[in-house]
Amino acid sequence: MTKDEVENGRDDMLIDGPEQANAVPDGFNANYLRIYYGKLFPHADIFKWMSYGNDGKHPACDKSYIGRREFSFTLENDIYIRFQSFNSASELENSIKEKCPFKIDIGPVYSVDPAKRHAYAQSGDNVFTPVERELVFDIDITDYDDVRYCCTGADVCLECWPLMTIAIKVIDTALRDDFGFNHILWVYSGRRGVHCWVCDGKARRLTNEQRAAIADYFRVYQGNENSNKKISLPGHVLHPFLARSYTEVLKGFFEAKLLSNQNLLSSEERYEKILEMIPDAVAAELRGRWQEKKRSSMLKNDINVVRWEQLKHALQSGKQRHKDYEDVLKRLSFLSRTLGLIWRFRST
Amino acid sequence: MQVVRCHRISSSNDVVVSTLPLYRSAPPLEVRLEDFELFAVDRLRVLKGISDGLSRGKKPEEIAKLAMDLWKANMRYPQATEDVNKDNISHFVLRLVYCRTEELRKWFLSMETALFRYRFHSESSEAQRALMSEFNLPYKAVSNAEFESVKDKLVQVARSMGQTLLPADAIFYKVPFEEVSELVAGRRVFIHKGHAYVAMNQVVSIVVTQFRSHLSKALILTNRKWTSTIREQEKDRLTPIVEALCTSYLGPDYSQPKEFAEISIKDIDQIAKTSFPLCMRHLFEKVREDHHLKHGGRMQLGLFLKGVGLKVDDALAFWKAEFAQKVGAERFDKEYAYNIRHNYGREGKRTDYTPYSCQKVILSTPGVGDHHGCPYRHFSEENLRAALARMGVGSRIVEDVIDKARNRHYQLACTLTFEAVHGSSCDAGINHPNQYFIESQKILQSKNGSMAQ
Repeated sequence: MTKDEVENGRDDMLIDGPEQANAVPDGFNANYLRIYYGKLFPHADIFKWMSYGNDGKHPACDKSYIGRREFSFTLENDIYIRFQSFNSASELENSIKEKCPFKIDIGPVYSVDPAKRHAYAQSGDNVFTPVERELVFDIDITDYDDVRYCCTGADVCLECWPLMTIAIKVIDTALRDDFGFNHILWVYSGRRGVHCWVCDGKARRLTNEQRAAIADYFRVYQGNENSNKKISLPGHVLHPFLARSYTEVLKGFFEAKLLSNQNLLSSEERYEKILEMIPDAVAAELRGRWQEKKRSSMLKNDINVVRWEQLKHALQSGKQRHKDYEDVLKRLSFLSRTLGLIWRFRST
Repeated sequence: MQVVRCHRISSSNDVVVSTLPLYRSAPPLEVRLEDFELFAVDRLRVLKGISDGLSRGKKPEEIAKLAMDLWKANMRYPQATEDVNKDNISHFVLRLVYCRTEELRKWFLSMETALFRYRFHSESSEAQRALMSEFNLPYKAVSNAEFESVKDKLVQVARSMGQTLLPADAIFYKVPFEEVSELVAGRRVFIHKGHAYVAMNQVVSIVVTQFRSHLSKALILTNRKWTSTIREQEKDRLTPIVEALCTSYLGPDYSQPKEFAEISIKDIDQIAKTSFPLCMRHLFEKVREDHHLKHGGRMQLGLFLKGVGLKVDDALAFWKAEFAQKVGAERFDKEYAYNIRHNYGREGKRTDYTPYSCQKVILSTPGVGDHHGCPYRHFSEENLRAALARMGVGSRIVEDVIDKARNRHYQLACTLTFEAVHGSSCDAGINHPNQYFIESQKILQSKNGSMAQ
């Protein structure tokens, strides 16, 4: 609203009215990118973040640190330039404004300034090597495509986004409580997922092996469409991480939202996927019941919730422990896809 | 290493002394020159036993037992204190031997680490704890209260792995999770705020990793010292011993043939077909074919025949009969006969004149016109297939043999051949051509014996 409009106290808000002089076209526009870099992009903040305190004046500063960080730009026409490095915020700002990259990637901190890498490679001692890199997780909603029915591909909606919320909560809690990390940034990736940046010093200095270990710690799900029981949870007692994830996050979301949002038990095709995971005898009994009642007379209650209660009851009449175990299987089948965890540690 | 205990252990008067040294520094001991070599050889038997077990694909428990048996057999002294000295000395001598190339270092590192792991496992828990503190891992001790606060989580982790309960005197250690990546990856530990609570049996893997990493660095340093000073300084004393040690063969030397002493020339063709290993069979065939062999071949086959029981006169007659066809009788007498008598006349412990072990044969480098060396190493696959077929080895086994040879397990290839040709297994594995011959003759004699009945 313009100043005039505010002062006139208009009651009806015409926001995108036809008489608006500068109409904003849809879609990406390189000019807007230029304006964005000129007026909105937080050059100084990014620089300060990447410096991790080494831009100060205290004695422990490593002046070479920020200059050893690689940035790479994807320019118009898909031109990709690597090993960009900057020694000051203004250098970074000027370079971005001048090149107007369509995409900026942040690489690792190397042992020497990437601009000087050729000099060191020739010494034969492999001195040009990455020494620090944030621990980054990349979660795509498409990793959950086999358990969401509302959207496919890069589409996301309010019904399936909770899958992402679950993943974020589970991973964030584990990173803080289990691994002891504190400086964690979650950010929407712009299309269909989220990125998680763990920036603690300890995280930045993790080796590849340690990063793989953290990813494996989260992993529950192995295999693909071809294998049947893809989740391996040996024993009836769960590791504290899994137990906590179930109790604090998964159970609630599943019963309150996903069950209904995704109509997980409403059709044969869908409920079969869940029946596959429970003992055959119980599954057979339930299948029989559900196949008969095509249309439940109890339409007041969501059919998914009703059937879920039936399922739980059926399992409960067996072993109590069985119930929990199987429940978790289902929950964790959603969680599991976080094991599209892709950490990024780009090496030379 | 932070120690978290769940039981107060009553103090005892016994001082827990671990007999497992960490080889941090060379012991300031005086060693007799003969012990220098002998101790190393004994230890090498243990390491080679482990190596053999590994390349034969034995199960870990079997190898562990084998290692401990070999250790007891070779490294024990009547007095326990002497054990430790021999342990230390032999290790440091072998460091000199095995520091000199990348491949040697790799082998030694693997075997010593494996040996350390087996020995560590068999120590008492008190000794294990004492050892761990020797590793100087910079973690502080915590109170018992902490154990109580995480106990139920620890139980949960144990049960999630299928273990029933924590043993009564279970001990846990608190380490940064980065130190135990493997355990974290498999969710086999409880972690909290960046610390992993590691059970005693899991600790072994931490300790072994530290041992390995330390030894790896030490070997590099040893190599530098060896190359820069020691080798030259000791060239008249220790260096020849060190250089001979890694190729040394550790079994019987077959220089004094015992049981099958009576082999005459007329038997020799028959015996060559049935009981010679491929290396000697090939040389023998070539002598018959070309009426000549170059020096390397003469040594390898000649000494083998001596070990087999060919008397010196028969040997001379054999070689002359062949060589005379090429170079004439006079030249044979002048140039070749002396060396053959020399090989037989020589007594004493000089290893040069004992029949070659597989190791020695494998390490030799035949050139153009040579036929010695190990055929599993040097023959092309095609030639090897043909040679094995001539020996009567079935095509399926030929593939196994080829596979072993391709993977540089030459002695295993020869063992497989032996087993195929004789129709019985050879558990000990072939490591000497004369051993092949003796084992072969044993089997054939027993078959003949039973048939004669």
